[in-house]
Amino acid sequence: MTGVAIEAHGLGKIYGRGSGGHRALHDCSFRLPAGRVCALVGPNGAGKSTLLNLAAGLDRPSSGSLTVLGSTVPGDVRDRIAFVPQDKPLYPQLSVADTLWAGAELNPGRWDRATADRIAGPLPRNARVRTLSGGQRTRLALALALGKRPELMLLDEPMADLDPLARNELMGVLMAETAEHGTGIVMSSHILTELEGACDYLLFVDGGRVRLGGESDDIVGAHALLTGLARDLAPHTVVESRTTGRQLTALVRKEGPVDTTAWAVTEPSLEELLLAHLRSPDAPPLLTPSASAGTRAEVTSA
Amino acid sequence: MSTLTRPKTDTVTTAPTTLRGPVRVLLRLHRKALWAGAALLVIGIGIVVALSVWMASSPVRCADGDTTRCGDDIYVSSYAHTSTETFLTDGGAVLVLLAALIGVFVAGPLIARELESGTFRLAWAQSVSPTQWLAARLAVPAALTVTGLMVLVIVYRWGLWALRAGPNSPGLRWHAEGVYPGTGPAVLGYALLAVAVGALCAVLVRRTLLSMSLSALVLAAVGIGLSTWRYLLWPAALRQGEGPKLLRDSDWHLEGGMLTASGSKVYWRDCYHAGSVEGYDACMRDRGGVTPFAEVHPASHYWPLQLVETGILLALAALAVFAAFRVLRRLHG
Repeated sequence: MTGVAIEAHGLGKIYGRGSGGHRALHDCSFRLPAGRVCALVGPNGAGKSTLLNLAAGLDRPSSGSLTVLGSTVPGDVRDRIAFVPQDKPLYPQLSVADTLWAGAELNPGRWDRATADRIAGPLPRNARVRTLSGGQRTRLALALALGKRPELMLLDEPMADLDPLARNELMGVLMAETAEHGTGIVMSSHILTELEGACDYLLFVDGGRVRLGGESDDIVGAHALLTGLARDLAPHTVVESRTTGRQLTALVRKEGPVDTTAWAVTEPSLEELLLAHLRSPDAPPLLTPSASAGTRAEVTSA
Repeated sequence: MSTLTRPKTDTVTTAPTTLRGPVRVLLRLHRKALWAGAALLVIGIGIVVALSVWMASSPVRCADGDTTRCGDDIYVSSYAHTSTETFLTDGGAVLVLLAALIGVFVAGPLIARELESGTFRLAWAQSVSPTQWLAARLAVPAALTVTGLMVLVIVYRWGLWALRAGPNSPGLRWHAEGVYPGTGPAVLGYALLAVAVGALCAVLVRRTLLSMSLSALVLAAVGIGLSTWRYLLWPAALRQGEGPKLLRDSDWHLEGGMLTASGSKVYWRDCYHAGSVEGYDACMRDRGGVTPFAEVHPASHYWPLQLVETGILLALAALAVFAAFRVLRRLHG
């Protein structure tokens, strides 16, 4: 399957056993085209890390199937995937130089030393990893990830422990390095603003399911923020509505042309859109055609 | 310093399925433990060599050797000789303890600590599969301990051989609990079992301290069990008669008693209540004893016993390794 980075069908993951098990993912189906920079957003505990762990081949799904870079066993293509877990695991007793050396040893035939060195850039090579700051650890973890020249990068909250300046700088480095090779990226965060602007694709996970998936522009474009006198919103799908006196403000998913005479129509921001969905757990999921997994897609309208 | 000696491996040409990378990284990660292991090896060799040198250089009272019979019935041992005996009496037990120590190290710092702290994901997110990761963590300690212990066994045997020129102290007989396991392949079996059990405990409980304690418990149980029932590992020889026909110095004496006319056995231990030599004899005769007999392991049983024990240990180790890989695969595909 060319052109698809990740495809999931009815993907589920349960931690623990029996009735006490925690359902981290449930019946997830989506598709991520190759070469996209995708924001994986959702509240804490939504299943973002679980999804990334499964895609990186570190865990095995409890149900459903997951195809990554054409392989139904993601672990088999681990040399083509780079994964940076949330806590940036690094061997604390190694020096920066030794860590980069280990990257070369663990990726025989793939390692791009120049790139890794460039990204590790200002890090003192003789410093032990345990003495590095959060930002320095992130930089080193990214150097390891990019040094293996991946086709797909899975980054779990990569910028969470960075100050805005370092975040901006590392994001710039990441984008510059990956744009050149068309590397696909999936980056998770519970803060959307961290990723907005960098990402052209969106997967919104909540309660173990994918609720929104597709090109960010298409997803935003499929919704409208309507303001006007309170009245029936049909045929549009209401995500969230609020009445102040006789004034109604509603975020709707457009099902046909909007009556612009009755409503003042504005385009919601991505953040408004996600917040509205978070507040309305019952809103139906929306996956654009490119994000719909094969024949078992749930909703394909846009 | 380390950066200067680092080989310039920009692109390694070996296939990605090789263990070379994980092994080299593992050796780098546990450099200090490697140095400690090397130090133990040197200390072990040093102790035996130093004792021998001491023994050879200590003053000898009579002309015919270190430990001598000076024209009468009294053996005169040098202080060096008795000290060496005291040390070497427990040499085998020390080697088995070393093997167990390596198992505990594998269970803790080598595997469980990575699983606990999450650093295993560093390797797995690179091009190393969980199977390769575990295989490296089994192969490296197994190879290093087997090599190191093999050297120590040879050195220990050499030390014992130098001692046995004189009269044996009872603690130094081939079957003595503190000697026997360190003189042959059994200790290598213990080492491999220790590594395997350590790995299994680590992937099962994934907590450093818990896994170390658990593997120490398991290894202690196996060690005590085998040393208690070691004599059963090969059928004992039955001797009949009196004097040297019945028992030799080199025999491992298991049971003794008398055979009745019909050939059934009466054991001495059943007559211990009699209280005196005459009492024993009377008691045995009352029970129908005719010919004295002894159940022994002659010195020739050394190799069969060692090999059976090694075989059992290797089989257990293979089971533990198999289980460890299975557990890891079930958890992580």
